[in-house]
Amino acid sequence: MTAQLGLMTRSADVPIRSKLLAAIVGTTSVCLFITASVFLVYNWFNVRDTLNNNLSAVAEVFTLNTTAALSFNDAPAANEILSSLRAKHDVLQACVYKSDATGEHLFARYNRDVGSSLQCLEVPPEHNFYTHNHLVVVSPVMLGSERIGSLYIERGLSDLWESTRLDSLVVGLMVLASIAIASILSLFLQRLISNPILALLQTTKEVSVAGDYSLRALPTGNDEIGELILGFNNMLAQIESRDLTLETTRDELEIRIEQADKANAELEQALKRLKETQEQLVNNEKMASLGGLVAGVAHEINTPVGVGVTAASTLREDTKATTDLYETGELTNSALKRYFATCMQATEIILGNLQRAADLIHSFKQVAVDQTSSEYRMFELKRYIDETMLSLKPKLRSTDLVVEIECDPNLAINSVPGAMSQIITNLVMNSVQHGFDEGEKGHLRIAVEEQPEQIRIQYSDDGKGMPPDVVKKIFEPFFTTRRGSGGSGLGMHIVYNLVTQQLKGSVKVRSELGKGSAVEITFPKRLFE
Amino acid sequence: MRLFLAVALAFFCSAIHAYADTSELEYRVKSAFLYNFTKFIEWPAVRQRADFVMCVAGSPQLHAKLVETIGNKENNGMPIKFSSIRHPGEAQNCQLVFLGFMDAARLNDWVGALADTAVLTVSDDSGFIEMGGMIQFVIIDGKIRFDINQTAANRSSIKMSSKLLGLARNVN
Repeated sequence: MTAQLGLMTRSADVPIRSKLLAAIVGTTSVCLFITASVFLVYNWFNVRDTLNNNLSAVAEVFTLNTTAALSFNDAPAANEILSSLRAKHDVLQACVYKSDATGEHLFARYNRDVGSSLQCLEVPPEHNFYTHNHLVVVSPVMLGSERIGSLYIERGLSDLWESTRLDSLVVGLMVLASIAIASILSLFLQRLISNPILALLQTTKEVSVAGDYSLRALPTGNDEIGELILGFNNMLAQIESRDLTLETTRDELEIRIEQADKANAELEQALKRLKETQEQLVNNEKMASLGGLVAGVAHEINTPVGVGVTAASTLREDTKATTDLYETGELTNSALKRYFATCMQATEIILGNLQRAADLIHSFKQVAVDQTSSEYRMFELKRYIDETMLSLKPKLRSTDLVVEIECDPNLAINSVPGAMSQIITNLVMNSVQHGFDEGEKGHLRIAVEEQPEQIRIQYSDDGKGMPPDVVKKIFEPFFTTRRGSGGSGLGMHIVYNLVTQQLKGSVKVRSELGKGSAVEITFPKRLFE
Repeated sequence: MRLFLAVALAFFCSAIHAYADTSELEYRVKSAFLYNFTKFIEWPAVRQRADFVMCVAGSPQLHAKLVETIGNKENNGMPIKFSSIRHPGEAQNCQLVFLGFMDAARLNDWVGALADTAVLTVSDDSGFIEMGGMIQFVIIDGKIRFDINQTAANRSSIKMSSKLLGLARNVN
């Protein structure tokens, strides 16, 4: 039993041969054991019932035989009748009871062994009964319909036990023999099942060790194991063909990756060139705006210098005339005085205009230097915007646009002034070139709003505005609506780059056709503090 | 003897009285025997009537005792009736006749008259079997037993059970 339990707990690890053997022999043993047990028990009861019936028949005969003796109260006759039971070896004792008014009393008795300790009971028992080795039958003695007594017959069951012992022995030997035969038969029969499985196992081991999927298991037949082997072979075939496909695909993939790498390298090259070109273009644009600036500067300086030249040439004319008068001796007192007055006036004019020119140069110099550098410093925003607007004056002069600047003159910020100047320049030039027709009246407005940490510049014009698809693409490089007429498509892109990269801020554009355009720039008040 | 009689008394469900007279007990036991005989004896079909009639001749004491002890009993579903008769001609309706005479000549007459009539004849007389009577009571060791003349019974087509024969002291 313990061996069986142990077998069950480790059943998963037991070889299939042993399992099959155990299954067949175990089932056979259990079935045989149950059958044998049932047979033995059934047989025991059956034999006992037979014995009971036999004894009852004997009792019936003897009740009939003893009626006369009982009726005529002839106890010796009854004893004699009972003594014929000696022929029945298994009857141990018999007692006849006689009925009278006070009940039943012992009338005659028979005892197989004279010295036996068995004694008849004073009063007969009511029913038949069994003990483990005795069988008692009680039968009424009837005369007509009248009960005149009882017969009690007791027999031993030693023969029953003896035959049961013999049966058990024979059945036990048969069971053992059957189990032995079943074991031997199953030893051969289980190979029908286990051998193909073990062969299949061997093949799978070879396949997995060698990794050779071209191996095939040998088919054994058309039963389930045969199907299993067939399925296994099919699986191997599928794996083999899949491996092949995989290999082909991998080769193809490698070629494609190579091609893609090459294409990528080319693309990178192209992108690099593109970026270089873009940079160059941006630089060109910067230089172009610098050129514009120079033109503006030249124009602005031209006026005071021209006035100075005029004043100086007037002074020279006067000085020459006065010198001539002095040499000819015709220099009058009043003429000298007038000359002095002219001298004073002229030098003042010259001085004043030179001073103005110097101022202009100074401020332009600052703007020009800033525009080409990305250094940050403290500066007054209002004054800087004013200076920038001054450099844009030549461009604005030919238009009918009014510029409004709304800014706290004391607002000083720490930022990149060059970027600021270029942003304003680009925005204004965009408005001038795209927002208004030539000679059209309009307003440009720059409103600076100071916030706790940030500056917000709201630039707006009341020009033609832009459609949504233009607004959407406005920051894209080389996007322009005027490719033919000299637009580079870089202006707003430069604005975007300067705001996001140099000012570390953000820029938004709002515009609708006919409602002007607005650009909102937000950037930190203090960079790199 | 006394013990035996006491048991016999109990068996026949009699009232419990002390009987000083032994013949009184003897009659009682004989009545029981007569009744028991009827159970182990088969009469030929011609004698089957509505009633079973027991007749007594020459022994009014026994007649009285029969009526007293087995007056309510039946035989094969027929009530048992009793009749006291004086000569064999009256025995036509009887199945059984007990002859109480001690006179051998009269017994002979009766036996002769009742031969071949399917009437069971019973008597105490010691020579009754030799005369051709069928059952004769004998007393052995103080117990009442009986002898049977099976030949006579067979002649009258009266069948006696082997059990009854087994109990008889002698069977002729």
